[in-house]
Formats: sequence, C-alpha cells, structure tokens
Amino acid sequence: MNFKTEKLLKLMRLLAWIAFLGLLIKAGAILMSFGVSVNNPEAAKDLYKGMDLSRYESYSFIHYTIIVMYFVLLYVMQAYIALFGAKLLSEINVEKPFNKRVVDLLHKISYTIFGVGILAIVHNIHVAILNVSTGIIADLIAGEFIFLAGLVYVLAKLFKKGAAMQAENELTV
Amino acid sequence: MGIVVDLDVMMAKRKMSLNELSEKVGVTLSNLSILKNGKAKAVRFSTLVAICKALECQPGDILKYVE
Repeated sequence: MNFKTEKLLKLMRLLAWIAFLGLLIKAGAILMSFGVSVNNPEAAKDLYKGMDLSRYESYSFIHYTIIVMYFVLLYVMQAYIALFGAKLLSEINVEKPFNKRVVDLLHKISYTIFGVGILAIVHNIHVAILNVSTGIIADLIAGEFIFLAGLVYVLAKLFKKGAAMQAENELTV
Repeated sequence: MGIVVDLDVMMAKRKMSLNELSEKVGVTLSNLSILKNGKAKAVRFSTLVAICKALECQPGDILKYVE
C-alpha cells in the first residue's frame, strides 16, 4: 500500500473515532441537561452549547421531551455512522478493497443515514406543526440525508459487484 | 453439473506430481489445487496451453462437460 494512502487512512480512522466519541458525548450531555431540566426548567434554555428549547418546555412538556429525544436519537445514530465509518476504514485494504465485510458496512451506513434522514423529516414536520399552532420558530435539521443514503447505497451495490468480480478473478487460474 | 476438471487422471497417466506440473506450467501450487479440486471459476487459455503442453494432451482430456 502507498505510504501516503496508509497515513491518510490512519488519520481518517482517528477522525472517525473522535467523531464517534464527540457525538456520543453530545447525545449524553443533552440527555443529562434534559434530566436536570425536568426539575429545573431554567436548564432548558441551554441544553448543549446554546441549544434553547425553553419555549417548547414552557408550552408542553410532552412536545419538549419528544423534541429532545429527536436530537438525542439523531446524535446517537450519527455516532453509529461514525463507528461504522471507523470500522470500514480499519477493514478496507487498498490492494483488495472489495470484500463482503466492506459491502455489509456500507449497507449498514446507508440504512442508518436513511434513518437519520427520516428522523430529520419527522422532526421538521413536528416543529413546523408546532410553529403553526404556537408560533414557536425553531431551526430545522438539514434534509440531505436521504440523498446521501441513496449515494452510499449505490456505492454499496458497486462494491458488492466489485467483490463478486474480485472473487471470480481470484478463482481464475 | 457443468464442467469437470479431470486433471488428476491425466497427471496419473503421465506419472506427474502436482509440484512437478506446477513448475512446468508456471502456475502456483495453490492455483493448481483450485483447478484440480474443481473450485476454479475460469481458466485462462494461456494456462490451458501450458497444461496441455506439459501433459502432452488435448483440452478435452482435462475438461469434460457433465450434465
């Protein structure tokens, strides 16, 4: 393997692990702040780095809880994607990149990204409905995840074909 | 069933071991084992030529179609 590629893979693997830990910490911090805000509503003003959901908290505790859970789930799923990414980068062999394990991981990544996309859409619809009924304006979660999931899925299919071709090539005498 | 490789029959007729054939043909022992055990998905013409030359036989003596 090329020395430069090897270094790059190591760096990307490290970044993926950092992203995994960072996202888990983020989800944990929001969950902790939410726990505090149950008894102390003031905490809802700054759940994590200025994340202010106090208007939802004062409007309805159930809606507030659901919206917090969207974010926790979103970050946990993103952490899961980062974990798969780290595993993928450890598994990948530039000399023989097409194997079943990589294909499986790419499929899992695409399904999880799709899940994140669905969650983002559900969140955005919920927030939009609340905006109409209560006038609370909130930031929407970007909705490009579905497109990204589609791209990774296509990549997984290409890798699957590549794995079959590589196996055939290895069994050609 | 498909294509069956009868390499061991021809090797026995010529009293040639797998190691010897591997050296003559220039194919690794593991690849030759894959071919002999019927696990190969494809055979290159160049490999077939080399095997026929080494075993002094025709491709039909090594490969057979079985229904």
